[in-house]
Amino acid sequence: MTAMLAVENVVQQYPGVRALKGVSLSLDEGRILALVGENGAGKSTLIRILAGIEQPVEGTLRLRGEIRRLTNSAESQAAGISVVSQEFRLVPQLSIADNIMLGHELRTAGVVRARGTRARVRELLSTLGLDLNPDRLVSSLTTGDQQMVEIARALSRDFEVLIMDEPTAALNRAEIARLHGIVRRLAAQGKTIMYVSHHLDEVFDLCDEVAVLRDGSLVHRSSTSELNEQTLIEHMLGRKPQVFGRADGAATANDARLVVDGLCIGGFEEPFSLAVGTGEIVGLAGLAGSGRGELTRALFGDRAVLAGSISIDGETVQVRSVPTAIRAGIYMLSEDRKSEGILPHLDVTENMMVSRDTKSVSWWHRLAPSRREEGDLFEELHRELRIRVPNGRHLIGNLSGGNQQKVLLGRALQSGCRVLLLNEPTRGVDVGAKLEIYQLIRRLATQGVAVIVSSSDAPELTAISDRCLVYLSGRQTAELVGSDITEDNIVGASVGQIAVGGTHG
Amino acid sequence: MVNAPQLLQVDVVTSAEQERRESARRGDRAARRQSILQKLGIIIPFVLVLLAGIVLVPSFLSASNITNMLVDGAILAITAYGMTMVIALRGIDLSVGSTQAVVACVAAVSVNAWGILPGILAGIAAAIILGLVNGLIVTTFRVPAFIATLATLGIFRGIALLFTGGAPIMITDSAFRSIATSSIFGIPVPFIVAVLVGAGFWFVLDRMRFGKHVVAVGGSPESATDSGIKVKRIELIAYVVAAAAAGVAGLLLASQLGSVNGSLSSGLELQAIAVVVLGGTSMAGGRGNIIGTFLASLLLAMINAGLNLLNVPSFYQYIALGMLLVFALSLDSAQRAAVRRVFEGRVA
Amino acid sequence: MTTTAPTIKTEAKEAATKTSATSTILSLISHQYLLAVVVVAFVVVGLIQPSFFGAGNVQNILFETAFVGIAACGMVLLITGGLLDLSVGGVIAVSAIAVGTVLPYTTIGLAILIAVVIGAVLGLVNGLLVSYVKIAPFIATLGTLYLFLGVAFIWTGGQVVSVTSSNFRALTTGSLGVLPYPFLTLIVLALLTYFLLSRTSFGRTLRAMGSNQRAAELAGMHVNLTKAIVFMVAGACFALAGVFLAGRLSSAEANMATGIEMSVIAAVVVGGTSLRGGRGTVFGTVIGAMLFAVLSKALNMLGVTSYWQYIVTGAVLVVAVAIGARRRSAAEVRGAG
Repeated sequence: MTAMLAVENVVQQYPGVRALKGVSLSLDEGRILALVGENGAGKSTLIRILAGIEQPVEGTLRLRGEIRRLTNSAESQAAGISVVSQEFRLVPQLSIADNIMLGHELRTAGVVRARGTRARVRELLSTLGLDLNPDRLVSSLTTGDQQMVEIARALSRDFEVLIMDEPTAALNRAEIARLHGIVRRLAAQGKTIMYVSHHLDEVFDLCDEVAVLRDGSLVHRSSTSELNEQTLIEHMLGRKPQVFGRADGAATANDARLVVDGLCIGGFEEPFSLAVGTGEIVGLAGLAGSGRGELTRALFGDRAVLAGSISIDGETVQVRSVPTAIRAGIYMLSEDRKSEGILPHLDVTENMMVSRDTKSVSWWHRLAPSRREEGDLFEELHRELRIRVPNGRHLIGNLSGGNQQKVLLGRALQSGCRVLLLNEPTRGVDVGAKLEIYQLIRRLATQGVAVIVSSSDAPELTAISDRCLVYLSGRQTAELVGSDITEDNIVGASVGQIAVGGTHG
Repeated sequence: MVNAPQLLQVDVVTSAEQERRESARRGDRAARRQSILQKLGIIIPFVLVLLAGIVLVPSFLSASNITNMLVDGAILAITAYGMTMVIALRGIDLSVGSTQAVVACVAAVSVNAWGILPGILAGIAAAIILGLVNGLIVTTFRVPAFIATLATLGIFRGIALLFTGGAPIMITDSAFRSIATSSIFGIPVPFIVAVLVGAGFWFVLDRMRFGKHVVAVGGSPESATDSGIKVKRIELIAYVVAAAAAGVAGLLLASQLGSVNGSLSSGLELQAIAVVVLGGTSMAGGRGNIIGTFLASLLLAMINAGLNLLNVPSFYQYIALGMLLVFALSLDSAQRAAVRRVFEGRVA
Repeated sequence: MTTTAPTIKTEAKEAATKTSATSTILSLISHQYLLAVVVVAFVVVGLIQPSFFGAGNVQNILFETAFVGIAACGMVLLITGGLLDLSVGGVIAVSAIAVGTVLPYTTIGLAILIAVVIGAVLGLVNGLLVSYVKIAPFIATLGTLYLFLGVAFIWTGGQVVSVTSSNFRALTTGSLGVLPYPFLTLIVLALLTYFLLSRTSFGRTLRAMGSNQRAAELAGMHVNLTKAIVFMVAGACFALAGVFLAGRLSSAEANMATGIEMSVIAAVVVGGTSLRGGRGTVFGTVIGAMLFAVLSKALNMLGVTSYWQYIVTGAVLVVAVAIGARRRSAAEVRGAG
């Protein structure tokens, strides 16, 4: 039997990164294949290639044995591939119905058949168990509903192959169960399904086969029944999951450096309260919509705070804007390095100096920074942070993700912050640099900085946090300390499945 | 604090339900707020200016002034419809005035040489060619729309001036000249044309597939590309349509004036953009409001006619126009800020 | 270890200076092609029309370069910051009219100062609209272009204000050797602009803002304030250009500089500054201004109607931006845009 869809030796390269190193993978009719791998393993790249959004540097793609080239998404859809993408591809100004049917509208001579469209969309939504008015604008939906609309959109097309990239990230349990039912039914009808998920229970529950990507290569493929969770994790990591040595209890006893009390943030019913000690690393976990990202932004003055107080070292600080937050001693690095972190046209030295605390600098050098002084500072940090760049005049855009992140950490250091907020600090960073960054964060903490790490990567949180707070829809569902910080506990609490009391409360 | 697992599970589901209801409420509120601001932005100024005109300006309601305002408003509205579509796409066309000048001059010469129908066709053909030039520069050469059309503003103006040699062209054909001045059932022909063309634009933007695609491209270009929409083709068509609309308005203008020259309609882009934004089309793209554009065009025509009747020097019209544009744009950005605030929950 | 560490450091430093020197030279050479174009155009036109080489004509070209170049120094700052100003013609008209109006009553220095201050105030209006009212720069300044022109018309009542002071004319049109005073002013201004852009915190904020505005905001930079200031600086530059133009024409009126925004933007873009912001080249901008001066004089001397100027300027602008877009797609700066 020829495979429904097959990729052969697909290679994809981005500046500085080889995202896929010759992957061959085939999907059979009527089967559900799980695609798993750590963040940055190349799953999304593979999906983008199948969706026609990107073209591989090398390699071929076969549909029912025929070689095809998908140069844009229209061709991919015409070939019968439908994709539920991880980031929503919805037009906020259009209604639910228009979004679902976008690109393949029901029409007569170019005029959209409004009634027919509405009926079709109602039907689709009801199979997904959604009771939404098709005329509502997408901009007014919750993340979960947007996710469902995104799924409805993929299902509305004629397709042979359905690719779902983490479709359940923003859904609740009932919705997930319904979605699984639909996926099984589609497979029974002979559709081919590729299912990408971080939730391993889903993989074992739903999928027939599993393929594992690691660092851009396919490292394992087998039927799900031949594996258990432990072996699958080993394949994903390429080693036995190891326990990182942590200096337990070293920091928790210290005085609270950052105290957040009753902080109300728009869009979340309950206020946020937490305290971080001097030299402590607190992890924030939670799925999309959990509010942990919004919390860091509110603390950094990038999002409106409606009520509540923030104090540092016992002193109440008013955080009205980013500059006031920095002056108060708070610094945040965004999860989106490219669009909210680096300044691509500036060299690494300048990138590191933009938030510099200039209290000790003469007024003239505040206006016109001294190149020599900054160069010396850079050289110091260059060695200390082990940034792999030949000199300080290099443009930051040409560095790898890990080195860019180190430069940004250097920027945070230069701001002289007492509280450091990190969002997804190792997203898009290769394994080697990841460990270095963990060490750097730890070193910062030992120097007395209160660190908050907000991450979707549970192993990361188990590796570095002294204490881990888990959120669901803006509510803290668990506070994990010491040996309680495990991937299981974090993942469980973030979907609300396991109730873990803050035993060390 | 030890919660029973089931209890928390139930909690999660209900909180998701709650969140959904809350978001529906918030979404409705944002939409309402936005539509109120949008409607008030055009209706209040419209009524105020109308009342002010009736009270303060002598013979504001005279038949000749009303006809005048309707014709002027109509000609501006037709140009502005095309601009509405381009702005809804997150683009801009600064060259409409120059396009109109070229079209009017080409049409004038052609009408004189070959008669009324060939003249009109020649004018429209010229408009389509100029629109294609704009569209190709924007889509194929990836020049930002405002800079591309700023350049073609200069280029087309140069062409119009070269074409006429700087001298005015009189239109001899009386049938052509009577198009803009005649009326049917007492309603001036240009106004009827503006209503019909406006209805066409509204239908295309609101009811047709093409219109949905325009909104998708303007609202979220990445989503549009991923949905298999040919973004460049949509853009190209929009620029051609915008030029064609400016061209149709140019024909009516030529007919109204009876004589054209190379510097006709300079500064038109500002009027067109002002009425589009005042009519509630957002500069951020994704929302086109043809009816608003139509009303705003009439509003601007009333202001101009009022100032003329009051014998205010024409320079003040520059100021009025500049202020109107800044007002409309401020409203546009205030509107976006209001919606953002509702979503951030800063407004109860 | 302790002995090797400093050596590594100095080596690294030497490498740094070396590469930065090479990159400077490389970037100079890459701009040289534009200079070559200017020289070739100059020579070719001169061979066809020998009077082109005349001292008077060369001075004309240098004056034209200075006029566009001085305004372009302001524009290059704006474009580097990801901004734009279309109200150049309005600012020039208002400030030139101001000079013409106050000159009979005050000293030349004070008149020029008043003009420059007025330019900065008009720039501030633009800056506030863009930074605090949050209107897109090109559309806000399109609106203020007409506002300023309206002000100019109302101020003069549509008349021409004549500039009678012979000292003022001598100052603005005189020359040191072959170099007219305005051109010398341009050189000084260009050096100042270069310093401002590449060596100061203000310039750094400007480049950061143009490179990635969100990132600049999250780095705690005062983006709105910087926008307001850069519009003021640019307004002052435009006003200075207006002062020289008033001297040159011995008069000032509302229509004196209509359409100039296109030449100014074109000079900046042709010089190699990307419209997307993030980096700007002052040297390239001056050469770009010179290119347009040579072109326009050449068209003049060759007896081409002045209407062609519109077409040539527009075409050159489109071609320059299109080439820039092509070059960028070849990943000139990775991670940008």
